[in-house]
Amino acid sequence: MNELNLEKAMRIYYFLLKEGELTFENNRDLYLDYSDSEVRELLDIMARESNVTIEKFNQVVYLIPDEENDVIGIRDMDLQKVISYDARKIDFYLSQYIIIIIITVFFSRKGSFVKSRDFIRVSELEEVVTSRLRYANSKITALFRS
Amino acid sequence: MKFPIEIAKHNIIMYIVDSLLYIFNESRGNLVYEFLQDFHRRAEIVAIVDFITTRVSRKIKFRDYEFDGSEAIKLVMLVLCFIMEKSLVEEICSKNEVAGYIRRLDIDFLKKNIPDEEYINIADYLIKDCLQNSGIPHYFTTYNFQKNKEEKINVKLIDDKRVMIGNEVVYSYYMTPQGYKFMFNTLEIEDAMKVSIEQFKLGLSIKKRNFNGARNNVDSLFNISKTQIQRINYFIKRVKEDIGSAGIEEYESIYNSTFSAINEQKEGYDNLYELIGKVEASILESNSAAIDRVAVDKEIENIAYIKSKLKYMIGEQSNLLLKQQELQKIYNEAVDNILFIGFENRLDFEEHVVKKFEENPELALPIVKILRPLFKPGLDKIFNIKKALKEQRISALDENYESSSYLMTDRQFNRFESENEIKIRKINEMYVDIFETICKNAMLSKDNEISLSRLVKELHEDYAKFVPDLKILTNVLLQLTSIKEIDFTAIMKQKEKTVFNPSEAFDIKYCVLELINRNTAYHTIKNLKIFLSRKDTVFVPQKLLALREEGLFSEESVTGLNCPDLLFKVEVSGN
Repeated sequence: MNELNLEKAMRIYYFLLKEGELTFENNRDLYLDYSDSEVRELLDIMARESNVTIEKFNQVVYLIPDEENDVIGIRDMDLQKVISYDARKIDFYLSQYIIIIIITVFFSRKGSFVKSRDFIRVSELEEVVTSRLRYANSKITALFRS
Repeated sequence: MKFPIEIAKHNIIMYIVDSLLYIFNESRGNLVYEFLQDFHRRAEIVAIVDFITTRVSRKIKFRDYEFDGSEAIKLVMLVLCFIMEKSLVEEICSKNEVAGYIRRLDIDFLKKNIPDEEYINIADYLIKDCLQNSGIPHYFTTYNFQKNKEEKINVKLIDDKRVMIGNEVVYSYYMTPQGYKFMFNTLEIEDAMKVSIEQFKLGLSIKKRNFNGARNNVDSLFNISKTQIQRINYFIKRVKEDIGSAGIEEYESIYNSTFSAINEQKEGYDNLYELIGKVEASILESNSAAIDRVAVDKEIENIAYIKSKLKYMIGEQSNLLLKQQELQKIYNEAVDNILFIGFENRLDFEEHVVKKFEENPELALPIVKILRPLFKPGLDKIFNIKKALKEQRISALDENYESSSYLMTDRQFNRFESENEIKIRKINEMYVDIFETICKNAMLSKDNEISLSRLVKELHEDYAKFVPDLKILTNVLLQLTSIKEIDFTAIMKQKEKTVFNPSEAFDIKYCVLELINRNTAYHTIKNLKIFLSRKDTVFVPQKLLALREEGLFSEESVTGLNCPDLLFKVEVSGN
């Protein structure tokens, strides 16, 4: 193991912790360092030991926290604060639901095309959320009745 | 026995089968009707026309504004022309600008007498609902006779990007390569042919020393060259965004045809540049003997213009050729990545996540685990004991306070500043601009005093600096009238003790110190006194009259501030 490469790997790791992503544009030197296979191997060890994944997709290196990692990854509280400091549990669950609906609306296509639309108006998103919730509610109510 | 109608049916079916067999000589894989070979390429234009006619003209909302079917199509084409023009010169084209354009068209030509407040709605509707199809991609199915399979054409004439106008983030709309292709097809001929013709025309014009004509030729060449560059950049953007939308055929066509065309064109441009150089040299040689000096000067000016444009094009095309490798790399990496994820094995998010969640609300508890990898890391901050022990200093002492960097410039407002900080910085810059205009003009006037009414009358170039925003100006004037006298000397003396907390409020100490920072001439000001007139009033318009005439919205021209007249008097040392 080369000490210099360890330094580079640490620098990239620290940068990713701060910024979440590394691109040619946001840090050219570190981005080029990432192309070194030994640096990548060291980063893999760091990632594995801190329960994250470091992966490059379409010219961007991401630090992706594992599902269970709430030290580096967001926690319920963080998301709750985004909505409002006095958000109730129900607001929090609804916001999560809206996030997954947004993901579905934009990336639900199958086959080779991933992106399904370019934008959605907030009013339309509201309609989608309302109608899906109404439908889900009707199904659950029917389930309880039976 | 079969009925005649059944025989007829049978015959028709047999005829169709025969015809299809005739068209596709499948055993050889060759197409019999050669002219259908590029049918799918023709279909692109058809797809766009279909999109505009069915999606756009049938929108009921246009009827509210009394546009019938063909008028709606015409309006869409007019807006497309506007967006193309803006894209070619790479200017921002926001919804407001489109609204202003439609308004102008309505008043001058369309005569629909649409209320002013409706133009922005029409622009919004035209762009988002019609041309961008509410964000949903539009596909037109055609047939590729070469490959003997159906093909889907995605129609996307315009795209958007976020840009900053002042403090505001707006969407700017620009033409996609497909949009250009369509628009060129409605008027100009195919790009590649056009380039060689234009290059030829330009060469001829230069040889014939028709520099006016050559100037026009070089302009249209410039536009075409721009569209090629934009086409490649747009493709790179799409590959990065979603490799699925950028097929291998398109990649090959861009890679092979566009780059080779650019290579050829570059040679042409190099030759033209050489030619114009020679012509220029011969003109300069004969310059001394020229009788018509004005005409020669004009020719030299035209040559300089043509040369600068050609130089720019050669430079741009060289950059583009460098991008060739970059494109190859980006495309290959994107393909590798997508293969890694796997087209077929991709998680069906709706089926596996959303529906499961909707069926069982209890899943709301662990859903954060799904979202966690999608969010950027957010770390808990640990109290930094070293920071608490750090020497406490007044910000003004941190830097060399004779330099311009004390107060808020570099330290408080660096590249990590938030949107709010940027806003505060800009507001403070406006405060200082206004304050500077007052002090500067008072200093330059007789008796070192100037009234607000005179300032309004006499300011020309600096008017926008003085009235950047009516609210900001009002705020400054109100504060100044309440302060009545500003002692520059005292503020200067206290400057080492000044700690400036950036906020949106007008801070006179900050303004004075920043003003002196801007120009040492202001060091001579001892104080500034503000007197309020009891009887005279003044009207401060938002914009100057000359600017107003060019403005599109007349209501803007009457906006202004009515206030009592003020007199600003400075005392300068040495007077």
